[in-house]
This record gives sequence, structure tokens and C-alpha cells, in this order.
Amino acid sequence: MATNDTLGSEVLEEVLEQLEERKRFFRIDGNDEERLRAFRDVAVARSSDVIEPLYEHFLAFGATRGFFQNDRHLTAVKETQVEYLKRLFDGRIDNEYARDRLRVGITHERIGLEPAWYIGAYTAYLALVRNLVDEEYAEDPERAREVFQSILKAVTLDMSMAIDTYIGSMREREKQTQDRFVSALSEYSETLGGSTAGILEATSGQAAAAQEQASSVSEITATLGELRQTSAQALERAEEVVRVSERSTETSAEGSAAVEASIQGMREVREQVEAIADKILMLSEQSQQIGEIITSVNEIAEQSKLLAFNASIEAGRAGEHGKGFAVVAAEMRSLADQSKEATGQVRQLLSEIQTAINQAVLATEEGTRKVEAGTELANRSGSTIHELARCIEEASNAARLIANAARQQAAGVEQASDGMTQINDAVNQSAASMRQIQTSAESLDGVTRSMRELIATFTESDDAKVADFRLA
Amino acid sequence: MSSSPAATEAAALGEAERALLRRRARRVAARPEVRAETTRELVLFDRAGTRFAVALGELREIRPFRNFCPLPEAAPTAPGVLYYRGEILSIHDLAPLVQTAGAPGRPAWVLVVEHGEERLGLLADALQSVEPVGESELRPAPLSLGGIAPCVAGVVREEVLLLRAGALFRVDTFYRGL
Repeated sequence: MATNDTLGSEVLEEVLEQLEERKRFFRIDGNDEERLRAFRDVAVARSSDVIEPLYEHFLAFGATRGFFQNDRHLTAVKETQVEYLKRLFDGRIDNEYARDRLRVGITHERIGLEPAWYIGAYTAYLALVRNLVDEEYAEDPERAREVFQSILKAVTLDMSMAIDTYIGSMREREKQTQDRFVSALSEYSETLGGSTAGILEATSGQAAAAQEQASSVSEITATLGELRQTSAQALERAEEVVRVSERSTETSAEGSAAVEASIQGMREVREQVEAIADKILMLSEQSQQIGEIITSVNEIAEQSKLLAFNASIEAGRAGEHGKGFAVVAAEMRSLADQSKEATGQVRQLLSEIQTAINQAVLATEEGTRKVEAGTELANRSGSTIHELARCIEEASNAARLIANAARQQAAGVEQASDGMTQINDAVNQSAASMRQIQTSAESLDGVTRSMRELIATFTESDDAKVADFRLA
Repeated sequence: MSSSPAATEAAALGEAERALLRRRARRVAARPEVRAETTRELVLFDRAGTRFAVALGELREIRPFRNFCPLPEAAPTAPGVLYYRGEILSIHDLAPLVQTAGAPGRPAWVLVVEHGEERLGLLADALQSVEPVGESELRPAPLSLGGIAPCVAGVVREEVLLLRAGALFRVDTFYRGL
């Protein structure tokens, strides 16, 4: 690739190769060269007549004035121009001469002096030189014409060569630019390709992630659904517990009332038992009194019997007169015996009554014990029922708390579910965006490929063919 | 023939039953032999688980046992004295002579036995009855009576020891407690 230093060098070599052929085409031969040599002295002597007006002409136009940086530069250029003129009239159009002329074109291209001004300058130069020639060969117009013709050929040859290299170096500069552009483009396309590949990778990775996300979302949604169900069940159960506990509270209240009633009943029973005990006590006292009476009666009977015994004894001592009394005494004894028998029976009855009383006392005591046991049982039942009621109360409270928590949980689950739906939508959107990005990346990939092909077309051919290239 | 209930019943019975009824009727209708024998009124009393009898005529009085004055170093059969109708009556107990084991119970009665001009008190737990007993009912006393034998005339009513009042005053082992 041509660098800045060697711009136009290819063309230069090419032209040099074809110099003779070009000279022939321009019909430049030895005669022309001889004529130029003949005019050299005049040209050198009168060079300032040509140079000064020429450069005044240059300075008069803004487009050409700009090429001269300062006076020193101008002076140097003028001197170079003088040298060129001298060389022109050396009449030796050979490779060395041609090389110089060709370099001019390269320089003009580098400084940006367009062929229009260059050719215009030559035209102005030729006009001035024509004057010189006309003046010099005033007597010989034919000679003047021939000399001028030769000058014209040489100048146009110079011009053609300079223009060749101008165009050549222009092309080469363009090519350079194009190459830089192409290499940059190639770099960009590489980068782009890399980025596209990266994007595709990212998008496919993203797609996979989106897939995972979507499956996770559906898993979570399913779990939320289950959670909603279980919390609904828990709520239902908790409400059931509350209902049951309310019923149980009623039942326990009834139970408490029953216990109270039974305690009351036992109290009444105890009162009755105590009343019975009082009566038994009275009965016992009365039987005791009867016993005492019986004892007195018995004593009386004993005394009577004693009296009867003694009466019998006295009757015996009385002899015959005592016989009637003896009968009476016997009757008294019999009476006393009957009395004793009667008291014996009464005592027997009293004994039986006492036994019965004792049994009754035992029974009442048994009854009292049973009443006390029953009361204690009832009390224990009562406390158990209270305990039960308390536990039910606690369970009911706990169930209410559970119900509240379940309701809150259900609300939370609803919210989470909505959130999940949103996430799902976002995931779907993201997937759609990913697909779009993928599509774009793929089309970008296509563009990159087309760019590479385009770059290939540039790198393969040296001259930029204005080909009908399309983006693939 | 009048149809009385008894005749109807008799007609319903068998021959064996009728024979039995006839024998019984004969025995009931038979008058008992009246034998002239002497009967005495006896007072039956208990002391220390043994039933004694003493003739009603030999008793002066029966009293409840009270106001007894035991004498120191007295024999068991003559434990002490008590005041009776202005005189000092010596008290005597049959229990030591018949008791085999255990202490006798506290007596409830004193039978005042009279023999001639002499009197003594006989301790008794309980008075049973006054009964007429015939001589034929008297059985001889068993040989195994022991110390009380001299006082006993015999046995009536199978187990009642009939006492001889006079012997009570003469048997020193009893009277004096020697």
C-alpha cells in the first residue's frame, strides 16, 4: 500500500516505462528538442519577464494565492520555477527530466493544487512565452510557430505527466484512505461481529435464564396456589374450632350448672340426713329413757319378788293361818315373774330398737360419708369443668388468632400471587424483548457478513469499482 | 249318726291312725295315781354357776346383798358380816366349795337361814323360784361333790343341790372356814 512518502510512485514508474511511447504520441522528436535548446538562452535571459507577471497573476487570485505561505516561500518557488524553465529549454526530455515533471504532479496533489489552476497557470505561462517567441523570431513567423509548437508539446507533455501523477497520487491517496477506511471498517466489523456474537450468546443465555425464570415462576405460582389452598383450609378449620369451642363453652356452662344443682341436691340430702340423725338421737334418748323405766320396773319386780319370797317365808312360819297368804305370796311371785318376763321382752325389743337405731346411725353415717364423697366429686367435677372451660377458652382464642393469621396469610398469598403474575408478564416481555434482540443481533450478524464481503471487494481490487454492491 | 266335723275327720283317717288316736285318748283319760307323799316348798337359787335349793321353812328372810362388812384375814367361805335387824349376821359363801375356775361374781342376795336360834347369811347370785318338790324326787348326791358334800342332802330336778340347813351350821369347813 502506498504511503504518504511514496504516493504516486507507482504511476511515476509506469509513465516512465511508457515515456517513449508517449513522446511518440505527442510527436515529440529530436527536432523539438533542438528547437527548445535553441531558445534556451533567450528563455533564461528573459525568464523574469515570464515569471513575475505569472506570479502576479497567481497572487491576484485567492485560490492560488493561498498556496504561498510567505514571501520567502514565494521566492523559493519562483527560483524553482526558473530552474524548471531552464530545464524545459534544455531540450532533453529523458527519464530524469520526466521524473522531475512527474514529481510535480505528486506535489500538486499533496498541496491540493487542482489541475484546473495548474492548467490555467500553464496557459498563462504559454501566453507569456508566446510573446517572447514572437519577439525573438519576429522576422521568421514560421520559425516562431515551430518553436512555439515545440514549446507547446513539451509543456503539454509536462502537463500530462504532472496530471498523470496528480491523478495517480490522488487515486493512491484515495486508496490509502479507502484502505484505512476498510481496515477500520474491518476492525469495526470484527468488533461488531464479536459484539454480535457476545449479544447472541448473552441473548441465548438470557433466553435460557428467562426459561428458568419462567419455570421458577410457574413453580412459585403453583406453590402459591397450594399455599392459598392450605391457608384457606387452615382458616376453615380455625373457624370450625371457634364454632366448636363456642358450643363447648355452652356445654360446659350447662355442666357447671348441673354440678351446682347436684351440690345443692347433696346439701339438701345432708340436711335431711342431719334431720334423720336428730330424730335418731331423739329416738335413742327415748329408748334410753324407756330403758331406765324398764330398769325401774325391773327393780320393782325384783323387790316384789323379794317381798313375795319373804312373804312366803312368813306364811310358812305362820303355819295353817298363813296358807291363804302363801297363795297370795305365790301369786305375787308369779306376777313379779311375769313382770320380769315382760320387762325382759321390752328389753329385748329395746335391744332390737337399739340395733335398728345403730343400723340407722350407720346408714346415715354411710349416707353422710357418701354425701361428702359425692360433694367432693361434684366439686372436683366442677373444677374440672372450669378447667375444661378455661382450656376451651384458650383454644378458642388460639383458634381466633390462627384464623386471623390465616386470613392475613391468604391476603399475603394473594399479593404474592399478583406479584407473580406481574413477574410472569415481565418475564414474558423480557423473553419477547430477548427474541427481538436476537432477531436484531441476527440481522446485525447478516449486516456484518455483508460488510465483510464488501470489505473483501475493496481489498481484492486496487481501483475502487463503483460496483453495484448490495447489502446481502 | 250326726255328721259332726270330728266324725267326718275320723272317717277320713286310716286304720293305723285311728288306733293311735284311741291309745292316746285312753292315756289322757286315765286318772293319775294319787300318791300321798310329802312335798316341801323349796327356794331355788344360783351361786357360782350352781343351782341350790333350801327349804322355805328353813329361811327367815331374803334380802338384797348390801352393807356388807368384810373381815380381814377371813376365809373365803366366811368372808364377813352384815347388820341384820339389830344383830350381826355372819355371811357365808358356797362358791369356794363348788367353783372350779375363776372368781365368783358379786352376789346379789343374802338368804337368811335359820336353824333353831341360830342364823346365818347365805350368798346367792340370783333367785330362781319357789317350787314344791316331793320326797320321791330327791336323788342321792353324787360322790364327786367335794367339800360341799356334807351340806348337801341330795339332788332334785337333776342338778339342784338340796342343802341341809342344819349341816351348814355344823360343817366347820363351811361355818368357820377352817
